[in-house]
Amino acid sequence: MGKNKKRDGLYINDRRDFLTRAGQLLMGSAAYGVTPQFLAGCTNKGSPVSSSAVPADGPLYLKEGKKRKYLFVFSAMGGASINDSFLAMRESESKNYQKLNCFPDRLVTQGEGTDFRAVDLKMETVGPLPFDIETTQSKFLAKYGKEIMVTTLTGNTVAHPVGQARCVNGFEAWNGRTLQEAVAAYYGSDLLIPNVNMATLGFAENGKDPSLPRYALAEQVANAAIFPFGLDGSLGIQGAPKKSLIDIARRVRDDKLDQESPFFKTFGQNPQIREWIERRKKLPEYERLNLINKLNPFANSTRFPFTSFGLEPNTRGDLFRELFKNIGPPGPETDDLQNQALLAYLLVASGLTCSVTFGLGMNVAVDITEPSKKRLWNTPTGFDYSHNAHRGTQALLWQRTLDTIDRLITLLRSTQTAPGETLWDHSLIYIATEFGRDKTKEPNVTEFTSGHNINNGVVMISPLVNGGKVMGGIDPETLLTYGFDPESGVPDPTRTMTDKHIYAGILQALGVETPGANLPLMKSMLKRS
Amino acid sequence: MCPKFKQSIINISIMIVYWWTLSGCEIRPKEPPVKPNVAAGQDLKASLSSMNEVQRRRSQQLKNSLAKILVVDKQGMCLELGKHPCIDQVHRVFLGSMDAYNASQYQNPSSASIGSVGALERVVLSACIMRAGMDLLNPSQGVIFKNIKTSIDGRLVEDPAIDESIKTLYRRAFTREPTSSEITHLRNMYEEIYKTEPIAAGRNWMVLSCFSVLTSLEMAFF
Amino acid sequence: MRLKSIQLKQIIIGLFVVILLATGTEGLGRPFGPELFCRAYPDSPSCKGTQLSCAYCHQVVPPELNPFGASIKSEYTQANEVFDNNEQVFRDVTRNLLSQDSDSDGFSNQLEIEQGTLPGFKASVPQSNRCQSNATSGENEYYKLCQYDSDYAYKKIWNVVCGEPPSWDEFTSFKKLAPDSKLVALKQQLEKCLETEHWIGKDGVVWEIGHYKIRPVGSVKSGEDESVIGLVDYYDDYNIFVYSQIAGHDARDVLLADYGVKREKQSDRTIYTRLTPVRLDDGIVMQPEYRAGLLTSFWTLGFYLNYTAVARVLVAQAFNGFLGISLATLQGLGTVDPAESHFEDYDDKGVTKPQCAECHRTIDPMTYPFRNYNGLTGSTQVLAGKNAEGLKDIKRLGDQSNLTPLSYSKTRMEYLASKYPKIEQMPEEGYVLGQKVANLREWASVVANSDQFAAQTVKDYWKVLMGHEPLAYEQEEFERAWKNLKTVHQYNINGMLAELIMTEAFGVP
Repeated sequence: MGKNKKRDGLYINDRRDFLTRAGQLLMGSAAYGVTPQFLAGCTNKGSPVSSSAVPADGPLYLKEGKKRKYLFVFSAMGGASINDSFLAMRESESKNYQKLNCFPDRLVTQGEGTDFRAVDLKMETVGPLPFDIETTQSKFLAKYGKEIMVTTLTGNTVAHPVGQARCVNGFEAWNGRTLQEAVAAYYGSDLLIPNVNMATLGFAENGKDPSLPRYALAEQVANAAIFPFGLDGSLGIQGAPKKSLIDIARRVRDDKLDQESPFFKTFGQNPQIREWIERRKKLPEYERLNLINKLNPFANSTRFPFTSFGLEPNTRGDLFRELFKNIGPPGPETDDLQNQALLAYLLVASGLTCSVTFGLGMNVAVDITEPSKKRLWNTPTGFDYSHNAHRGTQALLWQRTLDTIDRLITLLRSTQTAPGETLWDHSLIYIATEFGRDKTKEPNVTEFTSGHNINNGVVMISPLVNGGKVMGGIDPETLLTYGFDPESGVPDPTRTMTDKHIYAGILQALGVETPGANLPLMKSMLKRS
Repeated sequence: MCPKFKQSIINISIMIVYWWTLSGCEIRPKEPPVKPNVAAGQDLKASLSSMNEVQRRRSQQLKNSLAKILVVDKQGMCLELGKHPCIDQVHRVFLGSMDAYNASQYQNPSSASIGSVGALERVVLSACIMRAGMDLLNPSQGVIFKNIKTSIDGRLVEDPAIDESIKTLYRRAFTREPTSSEITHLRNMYEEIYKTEPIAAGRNWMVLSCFSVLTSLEMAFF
Repeated sequence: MRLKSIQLKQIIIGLFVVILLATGTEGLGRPFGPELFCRAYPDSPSCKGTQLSCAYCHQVVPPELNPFGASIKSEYTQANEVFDNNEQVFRDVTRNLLSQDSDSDGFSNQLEIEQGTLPGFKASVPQSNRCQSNATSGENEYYKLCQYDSDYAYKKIWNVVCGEPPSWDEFTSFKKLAPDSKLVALKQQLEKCLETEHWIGKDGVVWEIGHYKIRPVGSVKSGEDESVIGLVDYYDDYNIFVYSQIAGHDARDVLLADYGVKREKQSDRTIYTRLTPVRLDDGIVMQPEYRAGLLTSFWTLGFYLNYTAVARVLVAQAFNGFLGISLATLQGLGTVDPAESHFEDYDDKGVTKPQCAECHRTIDPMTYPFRNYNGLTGSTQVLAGKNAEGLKDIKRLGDQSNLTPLSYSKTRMEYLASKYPKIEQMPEEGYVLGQKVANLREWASVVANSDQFAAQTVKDYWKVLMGHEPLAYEQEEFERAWKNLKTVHQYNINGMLAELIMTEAFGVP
């Protein structure tokens, strides 16, 4: 094996090499060719990847000769209505517009060369909450329209946690295995942390498939910002003995003290203890990869003086902070959603993970960086605040969802895996939501309330899907969506699509084999070659 | 780097190594003490439990336990970056407790997660550093490492106080005597520490014996 | 936060209008199924102190059947019987299934029914007492395996209840006691631990049990531990909850209290003091004569009822928090004749559509007693100082004939009628757990005196003490404990805990 070839990354199959080099990708000195283009000010240009992007490292992303794929599940907590984004209806298009959730024509634009709509509006409040909103969905559409696919869906529950669980397990389409678990099981056997879940409630539930390999179970991460601290037993602790000494103590503990303690001899077969022992074995690996630093993109500050404690946050932190302006350690000026999105990227780009779940939470979040102009980041209960103010909530949170995804895609597009290929080419973002919202409203109002509705549509963004297309359709007189033929994709007003169809389509787009699952073939959802 | 400056560093390094080597010959115990000097608990029989039920020592229990065992301040025993309470804030969920107010978690996690082991080690290590530091400062008032003697360069001096401190640690932590083999393992650990890093081997042994016992399974669970 | 010093108007200004996310209630189903099963198999642990889950026969939520449900359907088909509410037919038809193993988990349906596991879900399997079925033969000189071990129990009381291990001296003193004395000492130690901050303090064990009942939202916290956008103080709810659980108080007060509770620290000890019920002075907006513990607190009415007309979300949360029953998965529904309950679509939500009515004819009558309890409805008008409809006289804000936020208000329906024309017809009388109730206080009384409430209360502490929910072979001790909570202990949690530490589940290593 030639030295040069190895340096070029053409023959790296070993996991350690893979992880080490993936780490170098993040910690190295070569500059990313990132041109931040976000919804607030982006033009309609294409990928921001430039000629100075990260050098090719393709084989790092191979698994047994097959290109590894990555699933990002964005949890749109509370019911993201497709009628308020990509399937928005103009008032002029419906005879019943007075009673339906239609928009004034001037607010709705058609995505060029796509089936999609975008809503650009301004509001001064979200119901009783006095915060300005401005949406620029059209910019997202212009930027990613050819890679967006909306698939209509009619679910079967309006209970939040139940719907949340079903939208990721396809209503138990494959022994109760979640999408994330299926991807992790297929692509993640050689990864250190294949499946990470930062969401809550039903989106964070494990699946129920007893045959799932243990490594594919999700690692729950409650707080993205402080998560890396738990990945090293001593770094950053003043006065801590050297790692080599800590290793001695661990060895004595694990191999001698524990083995011979009466407690272990009596209770050592307890499943919790067995699990703990397994987790112990992984900690030195996290330390070897320096994850406590690598997954920390934050700036040194008075409140968080990392360097004073011997920690060295990711050297590309400046770049990340340019993309995600509100990331940071826990504090009032930190946007935890941005923290989550960036951690999602770092986990994948570090070669640790192939399935990440993150998204909106339950808590209210307000941007107070400019006290005179506070901005609402998250409503209480996410999209479900539509019960109190449908239009404002949907507008605010769709904007927030798309803006965050835009930033994530920007990074993925900037990380090359092979000549002419980036991480984004192998990624799929699924905006998962538990159900839609009521289609109706009172006449002549600009704000109204909405309940839950099982009829909706879900969004996938990926170069791997049938981009630019709405799979199915929408009835302008009811705003109810209808289905399509799975093979041809021809819209069919007589049928509705289920969680199982979405589940199958996503796994098939990602090339995950599903033996014995008997999933429907969703050829029409896949990218046309 | 300026060549003159570089040479100075090399010279100083050589001197330090030479000095430590010499002093090691003088102070290091001739024979490693492998036999416990105090009456240890008998190595009694312990067969497997059929019920096999244990509970995880969750964050607040861990905090209270460490505070009682090591007599350290509950809040100050571990502060990430010198400011942020490890147990109540930074590692709360990893240490097995819910974060109801900020993360909408209204039940304790049912199992350990990715940062649980690391979080436990960080908390215990911090607390042990604190305890060892205080006991070194005032050996006669030592809580765990009472009357431990160290040489001027920081090595352990053979003394019954070593075994006594191991015994005290087990009694305070697990309300039982250490077995003779547990004492032996911790004594042998000193030898390994010394071989790897002779500088401040005594202090490091104090910290790490505390660490190895208080991050053991008997502490993580009960 | 004490309301005495705070203007009601300011409170309302600050209060966010929020709605519960985690407990939706609508869906499809045949709610007589669980009742029918429990009439046919009343001795199954699945029917004692809880409500049979739909997952017993369905794939989590109807209509899809799990293997056990499919077996039942198949038997009915073969027997040419109609699946209705006839328990004798059900028993006859399902008799053939008892020896079968519908979910192929290696255990017969009969055993699973007897043990309280799910006969249609492979991962749910009976657990036998391992000391009886799989006892190891080796010696253990540290633990008394498969028998009550006082030393083990003593350390466990310390670790769980006091939150720390005993000292060497404390433990060695205990070990020296005679066996009978040890049992006495265990209870004495428990009593001491029950007074510790670890147990009763803010964010202590009891407080944390309250988390899933109250479901706090940190970002809107006002008062103590105020957040950046401090708006509501839910610690008042915790104070009432903890008070009801300690010092021999009545655990039912969590749903029945007409009083507030003050919490203060005295010499590092947290003291909870019951306050004389005086509206606003005791920190509660609701009129004392209409209070029902946490059901009518500032937080509950502001968060779970807020602007909504019908208290479905609030009821779902109360069932989940206090009875351990998930209405989201259609657990706990019982049939009520719509003619008697006056079930109608009062708020134009379509609940009388056939597919919705199956469940809502039971759910909605549970909400009717909340008819006159106001969340935040009308608060915008109050803030604007307008004599809006329903606000007959702004000067009489707080009177029950007026529309006051967070209060009992007889004109609430009148106000809502402009949006929902039929809503004024909604009765205050309703049904809960199959019983007819005239008002919310009766509703709360039925719930607080139910087996489900007692069982859920014990389960909260069982999980703390044992580290897990009651296992199949622990059901006997569990059932005895919650029955004794109602009778022997008269809802005194400390008495119940003294019983729990003597169980095999707690003391047998």
